[in-house]
Amino acid sequence: MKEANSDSYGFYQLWLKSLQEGQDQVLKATAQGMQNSREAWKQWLDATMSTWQKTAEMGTDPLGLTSQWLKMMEAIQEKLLAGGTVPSDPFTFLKEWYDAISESWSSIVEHIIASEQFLDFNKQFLESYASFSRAFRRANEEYLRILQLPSRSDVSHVSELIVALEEKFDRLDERFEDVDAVLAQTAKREAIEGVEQRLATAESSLNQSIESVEGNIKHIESQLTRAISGVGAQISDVQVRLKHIESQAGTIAPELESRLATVEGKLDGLQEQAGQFRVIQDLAHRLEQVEGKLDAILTKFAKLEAYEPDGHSEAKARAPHKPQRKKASQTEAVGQPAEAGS
Amino acid sequence: MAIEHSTVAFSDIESTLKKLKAGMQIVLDGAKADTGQTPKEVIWTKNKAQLYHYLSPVKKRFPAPILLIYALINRSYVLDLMPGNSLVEYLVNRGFDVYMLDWGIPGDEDKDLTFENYVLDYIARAVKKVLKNSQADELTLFGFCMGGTMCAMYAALFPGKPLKNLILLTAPIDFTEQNMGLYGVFTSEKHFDPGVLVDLYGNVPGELVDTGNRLVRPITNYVGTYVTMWDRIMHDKPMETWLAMNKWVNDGVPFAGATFKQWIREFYQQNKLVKGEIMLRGRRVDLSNITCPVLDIAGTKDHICTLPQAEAIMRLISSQDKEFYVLNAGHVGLLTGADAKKNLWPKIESWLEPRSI
Repeated sequence: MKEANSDSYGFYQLWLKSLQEGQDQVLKATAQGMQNSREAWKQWLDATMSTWQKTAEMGTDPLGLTSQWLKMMEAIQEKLLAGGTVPSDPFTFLKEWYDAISESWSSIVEHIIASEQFLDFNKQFLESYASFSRAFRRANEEYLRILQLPSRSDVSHVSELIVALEEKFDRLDERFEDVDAVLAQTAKREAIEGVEQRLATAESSLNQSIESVEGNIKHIESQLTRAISGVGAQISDVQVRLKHIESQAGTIAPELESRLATVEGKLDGLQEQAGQFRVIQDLAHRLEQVEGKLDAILTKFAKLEAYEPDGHSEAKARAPHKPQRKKASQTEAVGQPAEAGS
Repeated sequence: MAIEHSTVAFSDIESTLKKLKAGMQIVLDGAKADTGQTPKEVIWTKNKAQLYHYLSPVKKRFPAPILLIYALINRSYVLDLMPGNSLVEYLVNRGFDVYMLDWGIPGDEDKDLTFENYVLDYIARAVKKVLKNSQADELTLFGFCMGGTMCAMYAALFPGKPLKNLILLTAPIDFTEQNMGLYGVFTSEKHFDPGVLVDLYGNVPGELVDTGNRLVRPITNYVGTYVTMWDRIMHDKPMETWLAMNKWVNDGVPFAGATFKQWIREFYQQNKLVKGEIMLRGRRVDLSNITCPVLDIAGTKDHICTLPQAEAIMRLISSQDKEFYVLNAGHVGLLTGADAKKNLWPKIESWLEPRSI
């Protein structure tokens, strides 16, 4: 009953059993003579793991720890025995052992602490511990109050008041700094005197500048006056010449008018001649049409005469030779240019 | 098969015992190291917070100062870890005017501090103090981890002058559960109520926050760290960086209760920041208001702020000049160490130089 309560999962029994088996293996090896260290470690691992294997097979593995531990030990065995030598220096061996197991060990532990069971257990433990501690603290506070001794909460209350006081000083300090900053921006006596001096210097230089500008303006005025008077003289000269041109234009105008009238008369004559020329052209065109028709009639007469029996060759012989008629338009046109030019 | 001859001088029992003693002392008493050694002066304090101005041995080359803002978890001296391994020292020696806001260690009286206080009171006033002290009109805000998230919120509420540049180093912005790995599982509404811890403790103890962080990689953090330690001690490898880092990792500070509740509920569980639903004293935090140049840095092996979490801000801001820079390193590894000196620090310097004039 006592054993069941202290070792409900049987872990201690397993551990003691594995130690015993390991010890037996070592004694056996010692009796047979010195074996190399590699064989010794291998036998130790085999002895340890066989126990765990049996446990896992029996199914007593409430949290899955045994099977995970077994996997880890198998991985360690592989890594440790894969190396050529096993260091006998314990600290070097410790480092190599840690390097071999840390990864697998980490994954197992992280898996456990991230599991729902662990987190729920942790939460419940925290809440129960908190409620117990709260009750304990209240009891202590009450006890110290009865003994008229200050408790931790009394001291922290005084500290709170001091911190609040410091906060007020801090705010005052900040206000003073703000005022200081504003005051620093206001001008001091020396600064004002300096500014006054600079203003006086600036004023005198401004006055000098104004005087020189005034002088320049006067000079420019005189030059402008001279320029304006010169321009006035030129303008009057231009006016005189314009008047002369006007008078000359007045004398030339009547002569131009008479000559224009003459030209107009001639142009009118030309127009009339042109009109006549047009009439003559129409007549010539009509004459040409009449000539054409006459030629057609004559041609038909000739054909008719040619078809008379026994006399067609005589008809040919008798057909009058038609003289080429000059066109009336050609005759008149030759005569016209001479008349138009006079 | 021959037994390998040991590299540890077992014949020298005394030397081995000394090393064992040194190792056990570290395990039992904790790592001791001189950290945060770059010369500085405190120019302003508010409650537990201190504003440091780092004193430069070289002439200041850039008028725009840098204000470093760290997270509310662990101490800020990780940015000035140790001589020869300090981002602050590097920037100061390059002629930058560097300031840092150290949050200090919250007491019980600070349990009601919220992001409103941190962003609108502490950071806002620190900005004014920096500008006054450096006689500058503009500054660069540089946030690491949660400090980057707070800087992004400040930049969204106060865009324009005096904010000249914004640098975010592994700053989580998007808290979509699928992108957060184990953090998403630990902080889900179904499994975790932050109110329980806050009602119990007031301020959440640093050890509890540290445990939560370590459980994301338990074997590495609880076993691997000390395996590395013994390996370094026994094989006479340098220990200074390991000691400084171990000191910092174990130097957790309490997390102000009200802020912790806000952080878990409004960020991790409800993902309000990317949705534009975070309200600070009635003002909506809209990341699209950010228009200044932004350099966003993340690590591929970072399991505290994953790549998607950090990258999300790039599609939300309105800045024309923005860059997403990725390193093959973890959350703290990309800030300190040999790779940081070769990659991250020169990158920050080259990005800041033309933008700090």
